[in-house]
Amino acid sequence: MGKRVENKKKNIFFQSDAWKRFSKNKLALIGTTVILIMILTALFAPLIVVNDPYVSLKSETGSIIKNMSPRESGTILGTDSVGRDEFSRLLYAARVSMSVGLVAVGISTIIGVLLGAVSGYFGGKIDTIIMRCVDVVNCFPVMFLIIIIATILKPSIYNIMIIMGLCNWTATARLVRGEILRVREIEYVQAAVSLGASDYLIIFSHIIPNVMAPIIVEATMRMAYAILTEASLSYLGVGVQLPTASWGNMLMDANSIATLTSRPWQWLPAGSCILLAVLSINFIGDGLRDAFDSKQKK
Amino acid sequence: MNKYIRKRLVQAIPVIFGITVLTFFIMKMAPGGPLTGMISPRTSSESLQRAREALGLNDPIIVQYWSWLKELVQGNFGYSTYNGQVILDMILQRLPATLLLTVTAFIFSYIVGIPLGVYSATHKYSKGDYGLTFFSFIGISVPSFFFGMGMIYIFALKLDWFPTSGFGSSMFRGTGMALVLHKLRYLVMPALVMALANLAQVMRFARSSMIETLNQDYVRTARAKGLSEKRVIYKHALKNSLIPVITIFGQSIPNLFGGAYIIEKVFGWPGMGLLGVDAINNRDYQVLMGLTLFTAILVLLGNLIADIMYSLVDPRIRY
Repeated sequence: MGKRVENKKKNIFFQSDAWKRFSKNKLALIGTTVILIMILTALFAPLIVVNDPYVSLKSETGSIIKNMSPRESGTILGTDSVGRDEFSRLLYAARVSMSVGLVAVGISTIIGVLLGAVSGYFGGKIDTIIMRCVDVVNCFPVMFLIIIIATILKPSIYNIMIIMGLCNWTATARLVRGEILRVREIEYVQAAVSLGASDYLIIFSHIIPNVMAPIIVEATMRMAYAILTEASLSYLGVGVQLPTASWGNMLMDANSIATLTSRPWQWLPAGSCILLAVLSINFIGDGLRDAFDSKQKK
Repeated sequence: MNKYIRKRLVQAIPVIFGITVLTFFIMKMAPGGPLTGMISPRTSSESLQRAREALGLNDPIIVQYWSWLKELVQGNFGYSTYNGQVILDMILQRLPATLLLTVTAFIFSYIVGIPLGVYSATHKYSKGDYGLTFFSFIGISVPSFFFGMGMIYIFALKLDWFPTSGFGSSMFRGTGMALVLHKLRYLVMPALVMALANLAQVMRFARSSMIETLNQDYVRTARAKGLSEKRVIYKHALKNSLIPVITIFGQSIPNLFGGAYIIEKVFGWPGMGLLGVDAINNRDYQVLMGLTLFTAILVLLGNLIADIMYSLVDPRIRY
């Protein structure tokens, strides 16, 4: 029985109005395609790249070929300041940057949904306390908060994921709280209450599924923001640490005028990748918002 | 002074309390302590113990928090672990540069963002609207350091219109107007980079707010009266559509300050962000904490002012 319902749901998604609206949105489709290509190249990076991203390349005479342009070094995007293949690093960095964004958003969405649901459903004192906590966290520029915690703890990929997750939940909490306040008074929830369903059951199987759409949109937009934040942190040196490549720390070298002017291959590709990924995810998020929002007319 | 403002002020008290508690406990996580900057290898463990006792570092944590809070209220943010300087002095010395940068970026993003948003709304689904929407997506998606590098590459290195970084050259001997113009040339690029993301947001917000206002009954009435479209938009709709834009005024303050770290590093701008970057490199936790606390308080004040302004402008707001 359960299985049949699931299959039915799947079909409904691709025939649903939401999907129809989404598939008409050109920018959202382009965004989806770009992100899919990026995910695929990141997943199959070991099969695509020729040179190891962590090893300095050597010329035939045995000297390390650092700061070489694509043409000189015979690689696709040249080499960096210690002679590593920029193209290999770019693909491996995609893995790091995207997974940091994904995990961080996962953590913050879970925290935000839980706190928002509790706050909106129970109201009263708990609600006041949680909302004041949201106000407190919102007063800190998120970057400042993340930077100070990342500096105190050892900056590593996992710490960055956790810290970003712990600092970015307030918007989701507010959103879920508002949605729950709205849905709580609707008849089907009232019916569940009067049938004696437990609070847990009401929140997680009656309310949350019905406020899923805005949560997904919010999470998508925050994914874009998370990738930007990770890049900024790594650029400042408190994010992903070398030798592990991330799009942000690949741009650290570009702080010198010499790199900026004479070695564009060391900063243009990584920067463009961040822009392209973030832009695509923002397009997807915007497309999803329009698709889920049936009231909006074009 | 209405009820809303009073309530809003009362609400701010637990938030200030929360800010200090959070800051204090993050600071307690930091390795070392306020004494680290003053210890030399020759400091004996006895005198260290005596200093710890004198500073109350052996007291229960609640007592420590209380005495820290008392100092804080008197404006004592502590001392740098790196060079022992007074943190508040360090911050206040850098504050004007950062304020100049953020306020310029702020004003620019509103002056340009609102007209563009209104244009977008009144020309909904036209080519210009799509172009502006696309531009706003780029604005919120481009990493500020990458955009900054691009600006430096094009406008400083290739075209040589603006200096690459810093805030004024020490070689410059001009005074008065010449000095102001000289400094302005350094301000243009970082302020533009800082404004971009905010501008995009203001524009999107102004657009949706204007579209919503244009669907209101009183706008329909104004049109039905036969007023010209210009009069409807600028006389009836514009003012009301601008009210919600004030709300993002409050929200964008933390974002602007948060961007300071990156932008001041890229452009070598001598503000609080650069102070923070140096503190990161020196592992100077006390200064980082002082900066974070200081900006949090600034943000709280900014939000309060924005909310109070909002309630004054829009009498419909009742708490």
